[in-house]
Amino acid sequence: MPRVSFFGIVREIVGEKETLISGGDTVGSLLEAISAKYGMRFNEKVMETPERKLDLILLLNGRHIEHIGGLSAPVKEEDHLAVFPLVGGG
Amino acid sequence: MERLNMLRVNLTEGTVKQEPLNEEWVKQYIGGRGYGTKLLYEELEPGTDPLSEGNKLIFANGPLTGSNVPTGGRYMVVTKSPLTGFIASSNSGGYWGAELARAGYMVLVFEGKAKKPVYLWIKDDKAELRDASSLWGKDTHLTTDALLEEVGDPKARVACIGPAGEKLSKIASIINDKHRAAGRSGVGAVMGSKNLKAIVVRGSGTFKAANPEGLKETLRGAMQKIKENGVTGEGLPTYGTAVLVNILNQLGSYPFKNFQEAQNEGAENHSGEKLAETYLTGRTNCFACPIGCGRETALDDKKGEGPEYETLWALGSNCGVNDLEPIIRANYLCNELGLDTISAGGTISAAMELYEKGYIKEEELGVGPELRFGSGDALVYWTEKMGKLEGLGEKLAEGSYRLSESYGHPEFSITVKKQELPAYDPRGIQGIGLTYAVSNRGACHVRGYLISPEVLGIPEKLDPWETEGKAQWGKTFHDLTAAIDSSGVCLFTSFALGADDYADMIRNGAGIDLNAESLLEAGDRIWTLERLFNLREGLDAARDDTLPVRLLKEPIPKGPAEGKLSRIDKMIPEYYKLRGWDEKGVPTPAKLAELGIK
Repeated sequence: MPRVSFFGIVREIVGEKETLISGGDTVGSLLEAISAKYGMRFNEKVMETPERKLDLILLLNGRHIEHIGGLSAPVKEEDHLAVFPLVGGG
Repeated sequence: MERLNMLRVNLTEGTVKQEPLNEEWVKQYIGGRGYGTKLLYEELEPGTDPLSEGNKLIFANGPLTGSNVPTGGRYMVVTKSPLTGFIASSNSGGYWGAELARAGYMVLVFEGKAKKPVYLWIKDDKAELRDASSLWGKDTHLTTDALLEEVGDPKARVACIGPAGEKLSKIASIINDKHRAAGRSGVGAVMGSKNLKAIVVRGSGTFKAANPEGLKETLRGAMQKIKENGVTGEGLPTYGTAVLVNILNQLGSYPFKNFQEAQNEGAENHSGEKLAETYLTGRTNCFACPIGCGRETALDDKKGEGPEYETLWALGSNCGVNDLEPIIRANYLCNELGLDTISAGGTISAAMELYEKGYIKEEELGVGPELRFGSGDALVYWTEKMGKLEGLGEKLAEGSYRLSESYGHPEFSITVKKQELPAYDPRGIQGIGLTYAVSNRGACHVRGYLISPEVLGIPEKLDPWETEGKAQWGKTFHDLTAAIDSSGVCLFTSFALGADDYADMIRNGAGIDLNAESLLEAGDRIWTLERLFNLREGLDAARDDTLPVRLLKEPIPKGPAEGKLSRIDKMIPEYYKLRGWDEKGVPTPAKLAELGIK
């Protein structure tokens, strides 16, 4: 089952550091599975809403999804998705 | 403070003179880093020993320092670096720079060497050198408290050195407002070499914009962008810079144990998230800053600021230490003793590798703990010894290059131009490696922060493993950053603002006629003049514009970026070409003419 880790404000919203979630064979469908598990609090604060968008940095096995197919990137059983809010620093 | 001036302080003669700014230089080089570089280039005798009387130590505000422009509180220290032998320009925030502007000055230049320890006390148009003998040997916190009491004004602001700067550590910093550092390139040692312990300043002026209505309009837009931007409006205020620990570690580009590895299984234990759960007590803002990335922490009976991301990595992961407690202790020690945290961590990590591989012998440690990766005791003990230059600490205080070279193994020093690398592995993030290699002040992440596009996706996402196009990105970031560093505004605003915003702020705030294009050209001019300074001081591109051999020859051993090496050779020739430099990295006469550099 794919492993999903949460960081920063997303960790506070979902209330845990890590979980195993089935039901997604792409990053997009895995995000939907995460939404289903954490319900409104995840959807409202993390997913895009008309009022507010919290940009996410999504790393699949340490690669930003942008470089491996975006939300269509395939997810395998042993994969690891890291979910970060948009942050910065120096 | 309608008209800002310069103070020239001759420490040998004990004189303080007010001089007007060179208006032509302000137009060409803006202020801060640019103006300081121009002044140093014009006045410093080539080949000067950085720790001799002949070196000049320049404190330069930007024209927006002390203004109501968001984050307008930055100053720059410019001098010839004792660490690199090239240009040093170290930036700091806090409140000291803004107070200097309120007193009516944009630039201070110190020449010569005082016969005994002194400090400069500036109160508006009165400035005098005073005896600091009783403060010599005191740390930066005790010095600050003593000076505020001595001048009798708790609202005065203090920039000073600690014992590390006094004893000429080549990685010594200058600390202002107790917790903010002009950290890099050993600027604190130059101050110590001049017997200058501190600069205390109090001003009563207020900023007057060149075009108040225009500035008001510009600031309305800029504030909105800063507020709405995910990084400046939410990420940095909530977590500070420390939240980067987990991201870089997940990417497998978070150096571990002196860059022997690039992923650290224990990183979560010293992450921003962990810090927030444990030692964090609040957040702090610098002057006029709506972001507030500073972190206030407490440990035992001490309160302090930080550790920031760079410090968590340098004193933590790079030394194999994952517990926050020793990292925080070592961070506090660096601020009190006046050491650059990045170079301090990079030097202890090199010492740990030298010890574990048998080059530093056990008998050299005296009663100190073994220099083993992962030892928090060693980290704290040797940070203190380094800052006080005691025992083996005296060798450590020279920085990792001179330390490693003294044992016949300079390859364990992870440096560019003898300055320690920051917290991003160039093997896994190609563009940042280019900006480290060609940086005028030695390895530096805040000259061209390509982490923004390569990791965070701002303003667009670039693949960190690719080299294509990075030379152009590097040049643009270098030029924009040079202009921002010259304005007096914090680089963190650039997550939200662009060249046109800065040009508008400088034009309306300071009356310097700039647009986005000429702002970037000013940045190009500043970068090129820094290069000319370095060439005059003997820079050899083939020897100096490169990365440590480990990053070019030893692939990342495991993790997501396994097998990666830095490929700066693919980017540097293009970078030189884009800059209008020849293949040896020397600006062409045509380029100099284009930039108006004689």
